[in-house]
Order: sequence, then C-alpha cells, then structure tokens
Amino acid sequence: MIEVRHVSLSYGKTPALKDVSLCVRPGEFVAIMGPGASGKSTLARVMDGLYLPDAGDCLVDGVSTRADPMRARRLVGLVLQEPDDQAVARRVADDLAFGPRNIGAADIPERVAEALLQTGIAHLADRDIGSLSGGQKQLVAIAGVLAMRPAYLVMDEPTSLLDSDGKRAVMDAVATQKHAGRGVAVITQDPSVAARADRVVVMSRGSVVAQGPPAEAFAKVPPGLIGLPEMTRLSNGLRDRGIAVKRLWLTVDDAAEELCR
Amino acid sequence: MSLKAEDVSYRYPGAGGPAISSASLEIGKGELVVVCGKNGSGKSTLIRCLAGLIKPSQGRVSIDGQAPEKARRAIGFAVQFPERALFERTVCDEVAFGPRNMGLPPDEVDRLTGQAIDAVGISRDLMSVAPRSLSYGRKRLVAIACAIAHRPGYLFLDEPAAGLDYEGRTRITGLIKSLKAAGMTVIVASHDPLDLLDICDRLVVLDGGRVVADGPPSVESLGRAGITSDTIELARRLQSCGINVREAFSPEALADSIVEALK
Ligand SMILES: Nc1ncnc2c1ncn2[C@@H]1O[C@H](COP(=O)(O)OP(=O)(O)O)[C@@H](O)[C@H]1O
Ligand SMILES: Nc1ncnc2c1ncn2[C@@H]1O[C@H](COP(=O)(O)OP(=O)(O)O)[C@@H](O)[C@H]1O
Ligand SMILES: [Mg+2]
Ligand SMILES: [Mg+2]
Repeated sequence: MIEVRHVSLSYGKTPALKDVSLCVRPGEFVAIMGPGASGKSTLARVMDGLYLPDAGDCLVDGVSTRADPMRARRLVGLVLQEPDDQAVARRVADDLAFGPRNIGAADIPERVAEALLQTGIAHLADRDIGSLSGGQKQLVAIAGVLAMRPAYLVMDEPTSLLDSDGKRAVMDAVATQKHAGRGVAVITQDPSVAARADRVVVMSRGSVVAQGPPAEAFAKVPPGLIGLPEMTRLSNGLRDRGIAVKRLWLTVDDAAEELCR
Repeated sequence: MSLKAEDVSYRYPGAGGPAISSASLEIGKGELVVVCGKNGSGKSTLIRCLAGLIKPSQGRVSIDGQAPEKARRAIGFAVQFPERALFERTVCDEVAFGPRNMGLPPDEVDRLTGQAIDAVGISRDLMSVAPRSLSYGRKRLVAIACAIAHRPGYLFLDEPAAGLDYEGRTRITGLIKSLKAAGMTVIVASHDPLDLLDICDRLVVLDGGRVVADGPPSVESLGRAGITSDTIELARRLQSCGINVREAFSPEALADSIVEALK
C-alpha cells in the first residue's frame, strides 16, 4: 500500500501540499482530481519518493520514502505529466527497453512487447520518438513505465492529449494492472476516467477537499471545482428541472435504469 | 468574403503518405467551425494549410480572394503548446508583438493590446509578469490574446482546451462564444469537441487526412470521428425504450429534451 500521511510540502514560500493524507491499496484504482496548481503533480512525486515531504510521511509497503527513497522509486512507477520529460532514447522500442535493462531484467523483449501491446502502440515500435504526436508520446511514456512492471502505478494526466482510442487503451491498461493486483493512481481532469475509479480524491489549494467512492466524492465536491461525469450532470440537471431523481448517476446504466422504468 | 480550400493536399518532407488528401471546404464570415478527428488524422496540418503557415503540396487556399501570404493581417493563429510560443519578457510585450510588428503607432498598439487582454479575461495586473511564469491555462489565454490582438477576421485555435482544468476549459468555451458573437470567424481543431457542439455551426471530420463529413454536428458525423459520449448513448437507449428525446450532445440539452418528452 502507498500511504500518504499528513504530508505538507512547500517550494520555498509556496505551499504546495498541506496536511494531505490518502492511500492506494494493491488492486485499487484511485483517481485524483482538482484544478491546476492544487498540488496534484507534487503529490505524485511524493508517492514516488522523488520528493520528500517537509512534514508527515509517505510509506510504500510499510517503509518510509525518507528511509529508502530508491526502494519507493522501484516499487512505484511514475508517468510524468509532460511526456517529453520522460523519453531517454530515439527509437520507441529502445526507449521502452532502457528501464528494464537498467534494473538487469532478463526478459527485456517480452516486457517491451507486453508494454507496447497494453498501450496499443505496437505499430510505433520502430518510430523515432521525435516524429510522434503529443498523444503518441504520452502512450510511449506510459508503456515505458509499464515495462518496469512496478507494484504501483502513478500517472499524471495521462489522457490529456489522447483521442478516444488512446483513452480506451489507457483505461484497459489500468484495468489490467488492477486485476494483476497492482495499485493505480491516476491524476486526471477527465470525469469519465474518474467515474471508473474505486475512489476519487479531490484536491484544492494543496488540501484534500473530498474523498470517497465516485458518487460520494462527486456529490460532496464544491460546485465548479472540477468537471462532473455527463450522467452526473444529467441527474443534477433533471433535479434542477423539477424531476425527482433517486440518486446521483455515474453511468448510462444508472440513468437508463431509472428513466426506462 | 470567405476562406476557400480547393483540393488541398499536404505531404511532410520525407513522410510516406500525405497528411492531407484533396481537402475542399469553404468557410463563411462569422462561422464557428470545429475540425475534429482522431490523433494523427490531419487536424493541425489542415488548419496550418488554411492559415497559410504551410504551403499545400497541391491545390490552393484563398482568404477573401487572396493568397494566405498576402492576407496575414486577416489571420490569427494560436498553436497547441503555448509554452513553445511565448518568448517576450512581459505579457504586455508578448501581446503587443503582432500589432507592433505591423508598424502601428504606439498608442494604437497599447489600445489593441489592452483590448485583447481584456477579451481573454486576464487581469491587467498580469501585464508586467513574465509569460513563462504563468500557469498552463493562463499561458494558453495569453497565446490567444496574441492571436487576436491585431483583430484578425479569421482565428485559428489548435486544441485550445487540451490539458486545461475545468475552469480553464469553461473559460475557453466562453471565450470562443464571445469571439464568435463579436463577428470573428473561428476555426478550432480539437480531438475532443464535445464542449463546442452546442455552439458550433459546422463540424468538419477528418479521417486519415480526408474530409469524411462536413455539416452541422450530428451523431453520425461524430461517429465518423470516433467520438461517442454517455449523453449520445443514453439518448439512443431512451429512444429504444419509448421515451422520445431529440438528438442531444450535452447532458443539459438532453435534460431539457427529457423534460419535454415526459410531459
Ligand atoms: N518546481 C517548482 N518550483 C516552484 N513552485 C512549484 C514547482 N512545482 C510546482 N510549484 C507550485 O506548487 C503548486 C502546486 O503545483 P502542482 O503540484 O504542479 O499542481 P497541479 O499538478 O495540481 O497543477 C503551484 O502553486 C505551483 O506553482
Ligand atoms: N513534422 C512532421 N513531420 C512528419 N510527419 C508529420 C509531422 N507532423 C505531423 N506529421 C504526420 O502527419 C499526420 C497528421 O498529423 P497532424 O496534422 O498533427 O494530426 P492531428 O493534428 O489530427 O493529430 C500524422 O500521421 C503525423 O504523424
Ligand atoms: Mg500537474
Ligand atoms: Mg493536432
């Protein structure tokens, strides 16, 4: 489990995280939402052991990142928000092989093939990363981390540049990781991604302002802070128009079940 | 007065196939046109051809009857990644760059700069700040202010909402609406156009560099762009269980339609 316990962190005088607590259990998919500058990317780096908190602690499988940051970095795979920050080689397949080779993995070709397959970019294996679109680079960055087979996966806005096919590939990869018993945290602005999480954590100005299963978190969040799933907007919209709706909807099934009665 | 593309094709140097093949379209004054399609379908390439930033390998583009190179003042273009387009020391200099470059007198430059900054909703307090120090969402707004400062008739926006948070997206949608209301012709390239469907006049769908649909947004044309949504899916389900709702793209429009249908 990744346990963030009462973490505070500042950049000089700018506080980025204030007393933040959350956890990501093995086999769990946690979505982290919040406006820009609310501290999400900083939190991702704390979970990965890249940043050490000023106060509080982050434990990965029981060991503090302070005591052993390198262990946290091995256990937690971090996909950075800016895919250009992550590429280390020119050719896509070489880029994916770089990490596994670095840790002395024996099955490099298998790992590379698996990661390409999971992200739906097998056709890009021989391409020069520089010639790829922003969305394609985003998928390469994700594949690079998957090839490391980390116990936990933290992805920072992985679908921001992706079309519907790319988004589906990422969500399928999340499901695969989850079923393999790995914990996944996804920072996202996309409510349709968050709607599929086990839990949603909403941040604002460095603090957690709502946390719980999606329906609960979306009901508690201050209006206008984050986008809501389409079906949640619909159930809210019908209520505003005087139609009784039993509960907040997340999926098309939720809505159809109540309306088609 | 219109923008015309006739049989436009574009091939990147050294690329295998063309990025755009035989595209023809005409965009009238004051229209809001959204160009959509999957990643790599040619959206950025097409709007760069239309704006005259790159020259088609084949076919021709004309803006109000002129070649795009001769119609520079009629065109504003905001690129997808604003951080790669901001170079000046202050927001004010950045936005003033275009009008200054056109040799306008200083008081006119100041007036246009102020108006552009107001139009995108950035506080004038930020005029002396370095653009690179701003948040991603604000950089995007500065880039759009730069594109509209010389008051072009045609504004091109490449993925204006990608990577923005909820507030940023809402602002961009509102801004596009107000630019259209002010009479500007706006052409937006977007892989995720759902927020714009209620306000756009036309949806141009690209697939593999070809225009495969061009007309008012419809479920069918969105399908050709590989786009579906929960709202579209639910409307279909409701129709099949006898609730007679209209085609709707936003949950709010669908809510209106449900209220009507249940009456
Ligand atoms: N390297 C840095 N140096 C100084 N300030 C930073 C740095 N990274 C982030 N910040 C500041 O910390 C706050 C939180 O930023 P971040 O974690 O990137 O938020 P988010 O990912 O939610 O947009 C913001 O005010 C941001 O400006
Ligand atoms: N600078 C470039 N050099 C070579 N090929 C390019 C370049 N830019 C884009 N392409 C290719 O042209 C096609 C269309 O790209 P683009 O117009 O960027 O698509 P979109 O904006 O719809 O994602 C893609 O196959 C892409 O790989
Ligand atoms: Mg961030
Ligand atoms: Mg593009």
